[in-house]
Amino acid sequence: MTEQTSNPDWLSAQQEFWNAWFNLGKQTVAQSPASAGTAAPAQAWTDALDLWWKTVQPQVPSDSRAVFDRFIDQGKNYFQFNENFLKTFEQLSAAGSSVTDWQSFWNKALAQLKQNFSETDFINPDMMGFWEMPLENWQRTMSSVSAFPGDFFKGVGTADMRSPPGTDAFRENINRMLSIPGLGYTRERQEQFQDGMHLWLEYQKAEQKYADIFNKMGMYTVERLQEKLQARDKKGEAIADMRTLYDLWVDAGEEVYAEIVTTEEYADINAALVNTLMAWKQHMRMILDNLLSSFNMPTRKEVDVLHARIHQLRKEAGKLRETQDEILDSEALRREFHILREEIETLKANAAASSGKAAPARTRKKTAKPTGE
Amino acid sequence: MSPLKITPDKMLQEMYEFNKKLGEGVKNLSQIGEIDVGISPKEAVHQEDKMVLYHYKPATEKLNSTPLLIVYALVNRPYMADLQDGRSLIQGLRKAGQDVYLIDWGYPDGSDRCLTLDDYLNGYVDRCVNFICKKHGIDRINLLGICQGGTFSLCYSAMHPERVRNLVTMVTPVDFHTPDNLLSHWSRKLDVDLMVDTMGNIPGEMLNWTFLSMKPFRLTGQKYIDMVNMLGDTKAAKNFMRMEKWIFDSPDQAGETFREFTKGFFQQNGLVKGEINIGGYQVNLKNITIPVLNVYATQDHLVPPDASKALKGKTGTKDYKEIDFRGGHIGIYVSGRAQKEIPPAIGKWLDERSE
Repeated sequence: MTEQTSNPDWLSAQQEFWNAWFNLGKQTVAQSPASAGTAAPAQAWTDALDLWWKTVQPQVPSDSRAVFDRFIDQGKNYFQFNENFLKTFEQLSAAGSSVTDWQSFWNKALAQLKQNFSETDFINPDMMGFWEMPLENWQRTMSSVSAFPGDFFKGVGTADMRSPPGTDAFRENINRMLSIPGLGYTRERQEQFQDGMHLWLEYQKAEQKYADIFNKMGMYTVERLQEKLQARDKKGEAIADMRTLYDLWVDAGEEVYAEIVTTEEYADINAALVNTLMAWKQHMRMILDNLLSSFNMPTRKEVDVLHARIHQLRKEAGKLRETQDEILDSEALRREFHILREEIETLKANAAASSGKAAPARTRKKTAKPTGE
Repeated sequence: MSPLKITPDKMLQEMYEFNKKLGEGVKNLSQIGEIDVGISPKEAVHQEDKMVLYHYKPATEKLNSTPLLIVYALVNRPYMADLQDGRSLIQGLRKAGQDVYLIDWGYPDGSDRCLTLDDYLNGYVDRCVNFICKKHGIDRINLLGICQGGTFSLCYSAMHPERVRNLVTMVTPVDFHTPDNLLSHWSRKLDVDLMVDTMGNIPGEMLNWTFLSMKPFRLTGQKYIDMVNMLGDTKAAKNFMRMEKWIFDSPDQAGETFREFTKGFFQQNGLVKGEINIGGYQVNLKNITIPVLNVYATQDHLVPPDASKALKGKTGTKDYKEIDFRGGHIGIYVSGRAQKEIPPAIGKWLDERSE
């Protein structure tokens, strides 16, 4: 617990912030005529949450911040979802209960959503934040396992590379440039760099295909949502709050997702995303190793070989230990056997002596001598 | 008549309520403090490299004379089986009179990248079995494998049938090529050799991404929106934080083991075909002639029921039983209903088959 969050003044400040936001929102909604086609401040709700979080974040214990960030991210997605439909609900509300053709309002809103998905690139502010999740998760994952801080791929300005118009032609030009043979005594290094760029372009292509299939999923989800709403309409089931609509949207999304990710097409795209990234990373590792080698520093390749040799040595040492244990066990058994044999002979001799008979001649069977004796 | 009865005013009110709850939730979450997991008392009795063998303090006077060794998966942390009071498989097994041991694999790092399945199964697991047998003066133990740990337990029992008295598998993949196995479907075209040669150990974050990608909108989105309603309840908030801690606490995978397991099991489906070779042992499930109890979850999206049920008829045992639990891959450990059903059933089954 931080002093701030337990402070009643802080808590009442939070309450006041949201009360003020609510009052402003009410005014804005009241003033925004549906017929004028202007939405309520489209980004205002999301921005308000963002602003609130920025003030609250420093008060949150650092070990809980990752979880809070997830709450806020999803809260923003939820707000964005609501903002996207606000205009439609304003129009429906203005038309009143007499509206019979609610579907035309609704279909217009959904058509706009579909339009957003078909035109989107990675960084489209109109795209429903919801659909960014798998892509964002991939980016964050790759960023966390990358040598470079933050999102490395955004850092090299890849957004332009992904713009649909002319992308293939653009890539082809780059490929042509990269195919120019290296010259001079640094030609090998040039060729390594060119190969690296080729591999990076392949990764970009794979990432674009991944984004494209998610756009496709987004469009299908909109259609699925439409179907679900029509089904509810037929059953006479009303949707009285945004949460119910959001849950329907999630259901539609998961259904469409499950249908598409089980296809061969998706498996190919998913594997290509990983494989092309690995190919690029492996190449970069080779370049880094060359650089380290030039500084006479240990390289990844050398360390891997060391690990493999240590592992092998440990296995051999383990086997030797086991063999030694077996030998010692068998040594001990042999000694025990001889001791017992001698005791038996002694007992026989004593028995014979006490009965007055001559002790039988001792016979020795040939047995292998225990080593060490 | 429109089914949409939402007005802008209502929307605003909903958002306001949502934000209020979020604010209260922030206050509550920041007061929770440290999240404790792993509630059953235990002691570390054997350690090798990163692996630790734990012995749990018995909870009953009368104990099953054959101790039970739990082999967990490599891909997550084992405290899921002992998450909190009232939601602990281990607590349930102890109450059912079992003498419980558990292998904690730890967090592999770069020095572990060459570890193979042979090292894990014929090395660590076998030496843990030796340790327990020596300590108790017995020849054989009871074995319980969870998820990938169940697959390991099957392999171990097939390779060393003389060391295991009874075998329990829980949510264990056996046939990796059932039509509804999404993980297997996604992994078929992966260049695993390239992946391991490039990365060495496979980062836990990558596996996390894969698991969350199976139901991304529910698991990374809707779940948090749902939770906002419950953040004001400290107990519910703590439970949630425990699960979050576990979900995102994924160890890296030793590179060579990941290579072997993904190629041999996921891609080639070698276990059911008898094509798995581990350290010179050909893994033949028919070698398993001991009693087998196979527990699976009917709504498991990670290990589909058919992937587990495929075990039937594959072993050489005449004493094979299945228990199905109506729930998911995680629910089978943490749900209240699971605690009432599963540990007592496992305990009873083991007691009937132990001396």
